[in-house]
Parts: sequence; structure tokens; C-alpha cells
Amino acid sequence: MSKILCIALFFVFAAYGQQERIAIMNTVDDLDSIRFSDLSYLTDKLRDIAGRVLPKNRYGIMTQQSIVDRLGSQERAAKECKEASCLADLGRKISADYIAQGHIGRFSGKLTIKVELYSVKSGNLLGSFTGDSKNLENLLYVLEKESPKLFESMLEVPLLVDTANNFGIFEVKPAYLDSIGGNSKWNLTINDKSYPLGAIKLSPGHYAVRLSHGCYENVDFNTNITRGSSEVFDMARLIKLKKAGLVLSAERDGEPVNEPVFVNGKLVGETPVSGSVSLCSKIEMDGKVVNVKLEHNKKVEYTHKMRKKFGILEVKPVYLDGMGKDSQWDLAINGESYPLGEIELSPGNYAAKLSHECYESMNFNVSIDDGGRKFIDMAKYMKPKRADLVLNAVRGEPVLLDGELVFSGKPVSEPVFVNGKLIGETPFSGSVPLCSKIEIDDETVNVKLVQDEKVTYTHNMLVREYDDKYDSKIYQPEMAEGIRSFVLALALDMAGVAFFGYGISKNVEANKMHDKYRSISSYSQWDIDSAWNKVDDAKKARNVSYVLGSILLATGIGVHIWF
Amino acid sequence: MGAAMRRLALFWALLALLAVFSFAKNSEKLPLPKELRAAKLPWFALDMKDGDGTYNSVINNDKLKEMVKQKKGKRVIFAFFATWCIPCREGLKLMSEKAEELKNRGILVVLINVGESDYVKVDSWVKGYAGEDWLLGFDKFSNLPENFGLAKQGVEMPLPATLVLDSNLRPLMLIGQEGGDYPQILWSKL
Repeated sequence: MSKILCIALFFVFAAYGQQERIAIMNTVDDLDSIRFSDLSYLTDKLRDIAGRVLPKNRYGIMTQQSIVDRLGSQERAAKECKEASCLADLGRKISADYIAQGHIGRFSGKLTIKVELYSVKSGNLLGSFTGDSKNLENLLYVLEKESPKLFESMLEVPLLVDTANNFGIFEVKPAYLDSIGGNSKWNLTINDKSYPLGAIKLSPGHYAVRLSHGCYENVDFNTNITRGSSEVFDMARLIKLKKAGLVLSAERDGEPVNEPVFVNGKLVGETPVSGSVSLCSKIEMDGKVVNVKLEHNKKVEYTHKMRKKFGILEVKPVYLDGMGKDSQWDLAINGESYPLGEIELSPGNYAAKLSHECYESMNFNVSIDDGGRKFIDMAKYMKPKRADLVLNAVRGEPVLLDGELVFSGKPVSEPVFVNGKLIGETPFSGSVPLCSKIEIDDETVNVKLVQDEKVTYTHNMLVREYDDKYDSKIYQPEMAEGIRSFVLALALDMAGVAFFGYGISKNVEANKMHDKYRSISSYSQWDIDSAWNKVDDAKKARNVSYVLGSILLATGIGVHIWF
Repeated sequence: MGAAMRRLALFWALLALLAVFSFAKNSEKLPLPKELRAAKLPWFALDMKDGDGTYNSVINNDKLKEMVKQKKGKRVIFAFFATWCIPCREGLKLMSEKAEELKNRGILVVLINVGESDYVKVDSWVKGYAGEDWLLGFDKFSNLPENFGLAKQGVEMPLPATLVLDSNLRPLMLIGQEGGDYPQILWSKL
């Protein structure tokens, strides 16, 4: 009984251990139709529905952290979610078994949603749904209705979905006059309770509605909601802009100037100018927005101070493989020295020269415009100064020799890294960048390189704890196969010759024994048998030695030939 | 044949046997693909077993680096295997016999199962071959070999394969079929 229980428990745990993973990626909105927080809510909703529909013993919903751990960083996760043209490929990268993602788009002025679910292993689309609505609220309704069916497609038994509703829809569409105040939203209160704009589900009844906005006067009205009704309120016909008085003048470098003034993109005159403007008007001069604080139904006097004319030359230090320091750069513009960074220059043409200890000098011609910005992309032209290096490594320890401390050791083969990249082993010979970081194994090599010259350097490394202990086991790839096979072949040859020699000596011994046997004078049968046995033993030893000698010698010759 | 003669024959036979074994080929050293010759190891993330018996833990570059730092490891070995791969079994056996020495030398072993999705089966299979402190990672979609340039997309990775990295996870050596010098070759660069 207990055995059956154990087996049952094993299968239960095995089933949990082998949960299939479903990844629900962040919903994407390529056209930036809705806010990021709304997108996140849609993703959370999808995860929530998947968690409710799918049995927990068979399916695990991957957390955002788990997805980030597998992709490397939050930024990469966000990027992958947008760029992955094929969701199944993304699923592979994060070791998911299933992957789903929602996409928000626009069609004919409406918001659209598309959710797709893929099997990662097969790359097949298991299911998808699409929906559209004029507002986000109804889009959420579509998602809540359709996504349980989508996740059910992963199961054999579909679940029932409750679609009952008992409400009316009241929708307020935002409107703006001349696009004024479009960057901030209308506030909507219904019976003194705040709501976001869009379609709102309301229980049947009477409601007092107020719309308020920093740039417009308040709009108040009442509405009646019935079950299943759908009312859309058009605010455009009721809204009025708040107004303010403005007296505007301009100065450049402390001197009054006549500059054209634009209000909401329309030319209204030259400074000094006065008149009535809407509270949230966009006032522009000299291509720049004038940040004047206007107050509703009040007159404001404002002088706009304009900057002198200049452009910016941006020179940012760049390093190849991290070689060099900021302090080593020398920037000269028309022969005059400047620090690297953003440099203000009067409009005109300039000759710039960049020099550095680690890089070849670079020359540029730049043209600076008023208000313009030029960037010198030095990375495109940088060439590191180089030097030739012959690098050896010796492993040993310091010893006292004639009263002087000297390093004693033997040459070793160790990996050589230049700026973190493996480029070979000691002994190493080659060209390296002048300011490169050179490492042997884990140790930095402090060799002083000279541009376009050959430097030979031996790096001393201390013997480590385990070197003695495992010395005999250290693999010696440097011991050429040829030498080893030659030594082996020689050993085989010598063994073969030794056998032959031994065989010859046994042959001589057998002949002698045979002579003795023939000249035996005793008539004792024991003496005769004994003498013959000696002859026989010597012959057998000779034969075995010849055979073994031949085999060993042939093998040795074979090794000579083949290796 | 006399007793002395028999002893001599036995000695030479053993000598010959030794000579034949010394002919065993060395391990197959493979060139590092260009993805592994960069200063930074390409990104990887492997599934791992966690405390509650599920396989939702992850080991990636950052976590492994941290682990090597904590254990003061000198080298890391990525031993790629699959349960169907017979030569992999031999290699793992050889390595598990040297588990103690690997530990003493500060070598962190990560066994990486490639292309198999039945984690429970792989987990129980590997128990016979793994050292105590060894990590076991799963890569059911072969993402790691593809990112490392060890396999082309959609093509099965050639096994066995062992990648030796230094403590900063910089690749040092790639080994294919193990030879007579295995596993000593794993720490030949120490």
C-alpha cells in the first residue's frame, strides 16, 4: 500500500516539477495610442485570466522577473517584446512552452487589440482574437470576454464564461479648441466622483456631471442612464477658453529688439505687442516658446530675454577596448586648446585636431551654425598606436644568489589576454595596441611598450600551492606527439632486439645442451630425460623469444613509419 | 616452459599492453568559434531546479559570475551532454571520478543538458555521474549553443563538448571527444 502511495506521490511531484511554462509578454502599442500604465494593466489582466483558467499543477505563469533573468535585463526584455517579429522565437529565448502577447493598434479612428498565443516548441499559433472599440474601457471588456477562450485552447475541456451585464455606457469624448490644452487632460466628475474620460459603465440612474480643465471654463450638466443605453457627450459645443491680457517685449544681450510674435502658430505682430490671449496659448518668438505665466482675467507684462548667437560642438571621449583616460586627450580648435565636452562657438568654420597618447592624431573640419549642434564621432576614425611585443612567462620563485634576490623558474605556457580577449599563449609574439591591458592568466603584465618598436619581456609568476602536488599530472601539450611516439618506437625496438638477443643465447644454450645429450655416457633413464628436457626448455625459450622479438621489432618499425 | 620464462613472458606482455594504451589519442581540441573569442561571454540563461522541486530557477552570466566569486573558483567547466549521447556518459564518468581533484583545484563544473525537455528524467539520469557541488542546467531549446556559436540554428549541437572558462568567464579551450589525456586536459592551463 505504502509503495503505491509512494509511486502516486512521485507522479504528483513529477507532474509539478514538469509544469509547462506560459509567458505573457508586455502588451505593445507601436503607435503610442494609450498610456504605459494602461498597457501594463492590460498585461496584468491577461496574466490574471491565464492564472484563473489554466490548472496550476500543469501550467506556471512566468513572472516578469523570471523573463528578465532569462533575457538579461529589463531594457532587453522591453526591447525584445517590441522587436520580436516572431513570438515563438522569443519564447525559445526565455525557455517558455507557450507565449502570448497583446498588441494595441488603430483602425479607422478606433483602438484595436490583438492577442496571440503560440506553442513555442511547434511554433504554431494555437489561437488569437481581435477586437476594436472607440475607447479603452470597451477594449478591456473585449479582452475579458475573449481571452479565457484563448487560454482554454491549451486545454482539452473548455470552461464556461460569464458574460452577463447590467449597466449603461456613458462616454465623454475630449475636445480642444485650436488644440489648446491638449497636453493635459479634462477632469471628469460624476456625482462628485472622479472618472477617466472614455466609455464608463454606470448603473441606471440620474447623474450630475462636471468637466474641468486648466485652460477652459468649467462645464456642468445632468444626464440619465438606463440599462443597455449608450450615450456619447460631445463637449466641443459647450467649452470656452480662459483669457488673460499680455504686454510683451523682447531684448537681446540687454538691447530691446523687434521680434515677430506667434500665438498658437499664428503671427500676431512684432514686439512690443499687447492684447488678449487665451490662458494656455503657445507664445513663440525667435523659434522658441516664451514661458510667460498668464493669469485668468488679469493683465501681465513680460520681457523676453534672448540669448546670444552660438552653436555647440560636442566632442565626447571614446575609447577602444577601454584604452586611455580623459586627461590624456588634447583638443585644439583653430590652434587654441579646449577641454573635451560641449563647446560653445560662434557660427563659422573651424579646424579641430584631436591628439592622445594611445591613439593616432585626428583632424576634422567643422562648420558651426547658430543654435546648431555638431558632434565629432571620433570612434569612426580612431586608430590605436601599436607596438610589437615578444612575451614569455616563467613560473618559479625568488632565490638568494650571491647575496642578491633573483627569480628562478622554468618557462611555462599560459593564456595571454589583450584587453580581455584571448590572443594566444606564451611564448607570444605579435603586434598589440600601445595602451592595451596585457594579462597572463589572471595576472596583469606591467610591460612598458614603445610605439612602433619591438619590446621583449619575461613575466615572472609564482609557483602555486597545487603545482608541486599535481606536477606529474600536468598535461604537457607542448611535448610533441612525434617525440613521444619516437621514444615509444625506440623502446619497442630495444625490447625486440633484447628478445632476439635472448633467443640467440637460448639457441646457443640449446646447441650446447644437445651436444651434452648426445655425449651422455650414463645409462640412467633419469639422466637421459633430464638432459633432453634441458634441450627442450632452451629451444622453447628461443622460439618464444624470437616470436616476441619479431612482434616488438615489427611494432617499433611500424611506429617509426606511421608516426 | 619454466616459471622464470613464464614470468618474463607476462612482463613483456604487460609492457606491450601499456605501449598499446599509450597510443590512445589525445582529446579533440576544437577551435573556439568567433562568438567565444570576444572579450565578453555571450548571454546565456539556463533553467535549474529550485528548492520546491520545480525547475523555475535560472542561472545566467551574472549569477554564475557571482557564484564563482563566492566560491573563489579558478576555472569553470561547461560540460554539455544529453542522455542519448553515449560518449558523453563516458566523459562524465571520467570527470566524476576526478570530482574531488576538480574541487581542490577550484574548478566549478556546470553540466548543461541540451535539447531535452523532460527535466525530471534528465535529473535522475545525471545523479549517477555528477559530483556533489556540480550545477545542472537545462537548455531545452538549445539557446546557449546557438548563442555561443557551437551549433547553427535548428541544427543539433555536436556532442560531447566541454568548454573551459577562466574565473571571469572568458573562454579558454573547447574540447570535443575526450581522449587519453582526459580529464587532465581540463586543468592543463591552470
